Amino acid sequence: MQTLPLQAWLVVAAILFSLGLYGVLARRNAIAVLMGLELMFAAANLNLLAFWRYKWVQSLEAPVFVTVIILVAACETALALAIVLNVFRRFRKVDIEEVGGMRG
Amino acid sequence: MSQEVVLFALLSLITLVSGYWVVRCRNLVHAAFWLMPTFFGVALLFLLLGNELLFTVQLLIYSGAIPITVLFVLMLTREVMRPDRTEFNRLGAFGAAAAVLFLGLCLAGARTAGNPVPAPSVPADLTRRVGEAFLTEYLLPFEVASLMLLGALVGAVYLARSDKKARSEVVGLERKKLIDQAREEEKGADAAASGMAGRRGDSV
Repeated sequence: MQTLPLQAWLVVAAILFSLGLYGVLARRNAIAVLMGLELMFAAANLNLLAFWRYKWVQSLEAPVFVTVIILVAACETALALAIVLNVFRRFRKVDIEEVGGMRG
Repeated sequence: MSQEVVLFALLSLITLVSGYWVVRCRNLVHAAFWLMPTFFGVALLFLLLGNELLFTVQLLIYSGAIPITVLFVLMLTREVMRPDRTEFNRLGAFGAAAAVLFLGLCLAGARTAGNPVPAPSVPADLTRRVGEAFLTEYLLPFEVASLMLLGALVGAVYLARSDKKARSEVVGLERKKLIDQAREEEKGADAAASGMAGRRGDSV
């Protein structure tokens, strides 16, 4: 741990976040967009924990915060997938380019 | 090169390569399966950072539960892959450009992080302390999060339930249409038969 600079972690998290961002922006299936979102959550958590390890290892804020983030992300995923299912029932497709309106 | 560096390189490689396949894979079922090694790599990186609690949480929730849920919905929506078209929308190139720009921004920011020296070890009783913090200092976020989980559970069930009424309406409408159609055909057949009979009568 002593030999590894903090920047290494930040770079890995940044690449993971950018991959997720690309997935969110470029995919056309709503479920694939959600997968990109999950990658972004993971990258943010990795960043938080890296800073915790290198600077604030005695404090508990980061582990608590990351736990709450994981919880909220799980809720968000469940609800978003339920919404995707509903959208599919109504429009018979989950393509975010074709499903544009809020009214069926 | 020390052990940590090798482990870190290996785990980041696993995470990033499978993360790349999550966003690039054409078949979404494969993409959902690629989520598992990605989150597994992230979980092991958490372990490398010395946080066993979040390693377990990440492994259980992200590496296990979320890809399964995603796979369920993929199977239910049956829009996994259309052979006739690309899986990327028409702004895909701009998305890639935005991601690269964002990556550059992050890397520029990472250069300013300084060079902090990590503490030699994490507190041994970290998990216990986090648990105690959740029941004392962070009780309110804990309770709010549990309420939110309950709300999300109920909401997801409510949203995803099969709409029996709407479906029976659709079925009823279709049945009515079929009956009407059959009636029309019957009437047409009757008319044709009587017409034919009439014509026959004429000819006779």
